[in-house]
Amino acid sequence: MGLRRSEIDARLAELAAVDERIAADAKANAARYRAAHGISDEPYAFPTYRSAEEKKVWVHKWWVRPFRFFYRHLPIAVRSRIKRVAT
Amino acid sequence: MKTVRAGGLVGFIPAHCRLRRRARRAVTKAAAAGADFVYGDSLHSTDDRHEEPFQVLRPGWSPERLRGHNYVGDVVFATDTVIAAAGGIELLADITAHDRSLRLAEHAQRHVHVAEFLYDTDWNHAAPLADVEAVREHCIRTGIVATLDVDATPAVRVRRTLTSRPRVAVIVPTRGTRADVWGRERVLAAGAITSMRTTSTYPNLEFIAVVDHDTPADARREIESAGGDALACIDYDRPFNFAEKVNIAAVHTDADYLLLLNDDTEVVSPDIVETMLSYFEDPGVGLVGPTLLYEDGTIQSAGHFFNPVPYDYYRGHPAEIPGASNMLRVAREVSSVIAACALTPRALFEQVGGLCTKFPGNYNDIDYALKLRMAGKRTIWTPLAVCHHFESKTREPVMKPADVAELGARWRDMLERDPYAHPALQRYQFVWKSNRPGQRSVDEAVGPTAPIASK
Repeated sequence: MGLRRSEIDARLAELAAVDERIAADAKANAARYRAAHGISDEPYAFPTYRSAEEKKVWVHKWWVRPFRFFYRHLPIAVRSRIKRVAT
Repeated sequence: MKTVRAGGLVGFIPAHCRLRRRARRAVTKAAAAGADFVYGDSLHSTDDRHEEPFQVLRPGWSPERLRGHNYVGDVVFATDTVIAAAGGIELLADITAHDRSLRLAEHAQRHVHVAEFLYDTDWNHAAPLADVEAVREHCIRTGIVATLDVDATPAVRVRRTLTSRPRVAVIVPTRGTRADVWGRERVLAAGAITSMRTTSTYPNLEFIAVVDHDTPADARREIESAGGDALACIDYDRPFNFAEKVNIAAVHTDADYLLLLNDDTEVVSPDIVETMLSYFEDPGVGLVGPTLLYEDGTIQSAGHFFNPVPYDYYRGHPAEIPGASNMLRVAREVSSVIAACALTPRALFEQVGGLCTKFPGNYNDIDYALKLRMAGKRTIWTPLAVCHHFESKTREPVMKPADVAELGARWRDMLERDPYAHPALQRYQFVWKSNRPGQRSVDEAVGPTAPIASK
């Protein structure tokens, strides 16, 4: 297919227009998701390991330390039962 | 075999399984949301009472994977209507778990995975089983024409028979880079085209190389010589934009399918095109990607998952490993695949606007796969087709904040809720691994790994 530059540009513009239309729908879905989850409109950045894990791994909070100390000194049978219940 | 009722669904509980206390509540909730086929996660104990039970976490509904093995587990729930259509309780209670899952899934409309441990069982039932006869009957019932073979894993490998030999345009964007591959310097694009021409057994191929205008003349000659009469070379005189190069090639062809092929690739499987094409016998499939291997034979990608940022499954792991629950042994649905080697119908490509040129280097493949999902099409990764990808031999991998922002603006909801991942996976890892206590191996708890930033 020998296409002239203008033909190529026209067909690329058609693709871009379709892409924009789909992107608008996708952005509307994403905005609904953000609104439902109370997420701000700031530009998206991949969540970092640190920010995500700090929120998630509550066992590293300072106030858990005494409980963790106590737990670690329990007999293994008791610890394994606690873990079973926890999971 | 026992049956239990929960929220209007009937659960099949084999003798070796015990329903967990919270299972009924979780299933009832799923049923209330309209599910007519429900499965969940499971715990598997060893004889050592001090050892924590092993957790099997399952992904969302993946019909292609179910044909390969019974990844949904031994305990499934379905509505009375689905059960009646699948042959009734008596029949379903008497057959293998894989057979039962296939029969029920065929008649269900809304398959739901509950991210909760629904049952306990023993260690011997942790790996999904595969029943080749059940898959054969399933193929007959659903009109799939395929040859089946069984892998010792066990897994059933379903090779659909191609009903036609459509024209496939192999699109190779390049700037004529030379690089060392296995100790020998070569023009990468020429190598990729030569390997496809000499290794692939598919007869109906055409090649389109989109070549940067500043490509050295000798490199260009090598590319043209590699492609011969089957090659059309298109000059590209704009700033680097991988997506635009692919789109330009796509508007130059009237082939039925587009095979996006990076110049830093080399085909391994002779039937790579046939295998990838065969998945399009299912009209619900929009994109297919093969297993990509690094130069040293380790896995580069077995499909993408969002964990919570895009990762390649099992990147850097030996190609021989089966993966969690043998996931690398069977074709399965994934959120996206790398565009370094991916096949898609041209009509569909045009329908969703091609690759988005706002992603000049990274994430255009993820964006494309998500656009397809929005159009109701699935993306399949297959272990039956293999290709080397000497990743980023052509340029430095850089993750640009603007690309990430655009990806998030469009697909944040999908990035944060990958249906083929699991909310309890250990995040920031290439592997499928639970994040719950006791489930981290030393190898996998060493810390974060970088998200993908390159092709």
